[in-house]
Amino acid sequence: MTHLLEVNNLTTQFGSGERVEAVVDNVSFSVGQGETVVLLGESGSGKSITALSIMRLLPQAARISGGDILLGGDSLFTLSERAMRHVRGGRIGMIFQEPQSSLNPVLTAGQQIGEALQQHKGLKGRDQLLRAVELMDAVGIPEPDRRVHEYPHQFSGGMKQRIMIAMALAGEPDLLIADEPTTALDVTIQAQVLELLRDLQKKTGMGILFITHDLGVASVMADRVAVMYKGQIVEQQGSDAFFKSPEHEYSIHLFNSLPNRDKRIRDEKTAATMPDRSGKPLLSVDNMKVYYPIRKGLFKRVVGHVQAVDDVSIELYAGETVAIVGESGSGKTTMGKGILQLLEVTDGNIVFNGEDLNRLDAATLRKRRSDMQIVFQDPYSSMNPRMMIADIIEEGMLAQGIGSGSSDRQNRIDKLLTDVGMKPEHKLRYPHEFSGGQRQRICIARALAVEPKLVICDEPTSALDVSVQAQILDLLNDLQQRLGLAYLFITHNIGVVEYLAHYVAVMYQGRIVEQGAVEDVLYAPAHSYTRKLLSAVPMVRTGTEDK
Amino acid sequence: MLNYLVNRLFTSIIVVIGVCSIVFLLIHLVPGDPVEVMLGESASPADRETLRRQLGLDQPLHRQWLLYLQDVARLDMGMSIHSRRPVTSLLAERLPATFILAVASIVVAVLIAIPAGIMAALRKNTLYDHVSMTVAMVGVAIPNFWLGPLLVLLFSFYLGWFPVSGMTGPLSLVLPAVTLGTALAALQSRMIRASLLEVLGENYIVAARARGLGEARVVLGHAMRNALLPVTTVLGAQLGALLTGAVVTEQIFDWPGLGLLTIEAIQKRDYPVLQGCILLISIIYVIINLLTDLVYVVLDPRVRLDNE
Repeated sequence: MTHLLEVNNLTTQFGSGERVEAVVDNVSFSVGQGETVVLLGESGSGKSITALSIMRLLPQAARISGGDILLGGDSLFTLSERAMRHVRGGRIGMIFQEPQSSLNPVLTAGQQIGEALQQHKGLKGRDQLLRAVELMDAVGIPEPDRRVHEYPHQFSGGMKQRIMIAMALAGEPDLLIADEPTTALDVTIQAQVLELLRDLQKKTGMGILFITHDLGVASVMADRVAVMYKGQIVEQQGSDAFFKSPEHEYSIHLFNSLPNRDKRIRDEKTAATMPDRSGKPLLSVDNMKVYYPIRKGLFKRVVGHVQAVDDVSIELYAGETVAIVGESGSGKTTMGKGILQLLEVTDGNIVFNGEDLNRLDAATLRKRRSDMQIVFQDPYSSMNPRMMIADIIEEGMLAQGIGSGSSDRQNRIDKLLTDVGMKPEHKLRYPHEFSGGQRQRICIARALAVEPKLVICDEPTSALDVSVQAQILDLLNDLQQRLGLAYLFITHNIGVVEYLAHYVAVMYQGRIVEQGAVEDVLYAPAHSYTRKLLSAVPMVRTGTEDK
Repeated sequence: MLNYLVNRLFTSIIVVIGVCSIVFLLIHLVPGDPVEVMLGESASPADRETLRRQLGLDQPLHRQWLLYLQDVARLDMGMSIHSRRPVTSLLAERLPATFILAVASIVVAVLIAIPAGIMAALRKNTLYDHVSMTVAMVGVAIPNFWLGPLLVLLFSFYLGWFPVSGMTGPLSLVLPAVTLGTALAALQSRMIRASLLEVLGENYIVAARARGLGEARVVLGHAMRNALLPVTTVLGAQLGALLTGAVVTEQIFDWPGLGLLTIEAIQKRDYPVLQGCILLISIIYVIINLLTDLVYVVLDPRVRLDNE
């Protein structure tokens, strides 16, 4: 195999003078024609900076300080900026993580694809338009001759990523760099985009440098895998060998962090034992509906309803975890917020501890709030940046009149922080001083401060790296066993469900299409949507198992 | 889209009716007898009675209000007490001067602000950036009543390039337009710089570069179109302020526009003229606001469809 791209001893630094940090540290790898090399690593490992170094599109603070990059034998570092522009989009195409923000909102799809065509193929006017339509057709966008004139916001996330791919293909590149191209997409859409990339590779013979943090995606895409950790490539192997027997301890750690059934059995946590479901449920939701009116016209008449949550019923017992699984827009978050009365519920009974929350007056409801708490997806935006950790945790206690005085509350804060694996002295710091995982621990401490019986976890680990996710899931597990908490766990990640939940409900377009014990639903799905969802999840082929 | 237009027009009409009502009430807010205030204490009782009837002040309030709205609808805003001419024709006389000055000032402002703002953003934290933004800050800080006379002193008295005051041909437009335009440019260039810097950090800019586009295309074709969106709002507000008479600047240069007319009306206690001025100013504001929103719709496709 001839080497299309050769990266030799690449070092890229941030900062200057005393405070230089090598974000990419002496990295070497190569990509052959028609080959897919996966650069695997967690956030901050230097994957994206490696890609931007190849394109010579680094942010101002960064600087390439050593090594060389050869494309088809030519060094990219000796090229002039003008010549480099022919390489970008011409010989190397690139697609990005967030198709949402990677397209210019004020230009049509056709205009943006057209730009690349004009730049690299010299196509103008009618020829340009026809080729743009052709490309959109090739990446599987329906009705391309109409949609070529539409703006980015008129396309769904998956379609936007297809447009990005069409744009990257416009210059007929030899190499495609795909930087987490499916991370922002739903799993069924991800499966489609990955298949498209493989198809296109077969047709064009281009090499792909595929950057991801997801072992499952890597397993589906890779011919070869290079694992990045703290700026270095710690392991490089053929895909089969890597997934059979990862060598470096960090790689092994990654595999062990993956939440799934094996880990559940291995850790002997949760739920080898199913919780007792006799007696009264802690929470019972009957025929809950959340409808949003659609208003139109001069006098804002209601012309219809968006049925965000449509007629859902679930039960949750003390000490157990019920997972709500679904893709974005399926209504799972709305359902969680509706149960907590954080938004208006159109209809239905939400009986918690024998009381219908939907019928309580505001003052009583406020008193009940200490029994039910929520942990949000994004630990960065769910804490007030100007409040100290101690104040953040104490606020709820003050509101609910918990603790006999200031010193009692401070002691409780110390204990809570210790419970979630932090140190008491952390309480005098501010949120920005902590990492994502630490912040999520603090958010959990905040939720526990008012001694809840029910915690709604809304994708609490989606913003975290897989190794941090494992720690948080462990913590949640541990707390459940010690405190007898009930979790309503909202997630899109099937692995997390397998690892953590006792029961699962699958949501699709505002309805629960299937619910039952985890084992039943995941291993013998009855509903066609559940089957589609499960088959779209990229499976890691470990050991002798096939993909 | 059509729906949106109808909607906006409808609300605008309501605003205009509200403005008319407030302007109508204005005359009743004058302390004491408005007729006495207008005519002075020495006027004869017969004259007062005539004026009272002329103004409809002998009628009950709600009836006065309806009459006033009727008159306004017929574009009849009464007679100037001072010059004995219809207010409408006075306004019509002054509007073109104000319009010309406003447009000229905006052109001056944009011609300075866009290149200055772009350069400052592209050369962030360089000497150019610091110097141009300091100049802009000074520009915002300098009041027109100081800059205007200074320009007159330099370019009219010493150099004799432009007339001192009045509206006497194209050359007389230069100094007032520059006085107004530089102040606007100062604010605009700072906004363009900030807005462009933000847009240049967006992912689609990196994506555009990754497609191999040249710097000019990236900045002008991709970044500027997005960066200009917030600037448009400011530009609209500024144009509104200019069209309603740059009172101070018109006074300095004796520019026969709406601002000057307003000041004269106040000085001469010419209430019908003042009412007319305020009404016209308000309506111009409403129209400019409407136009700004429409321009926004053209510039930003997302707004266009959200309202369908």
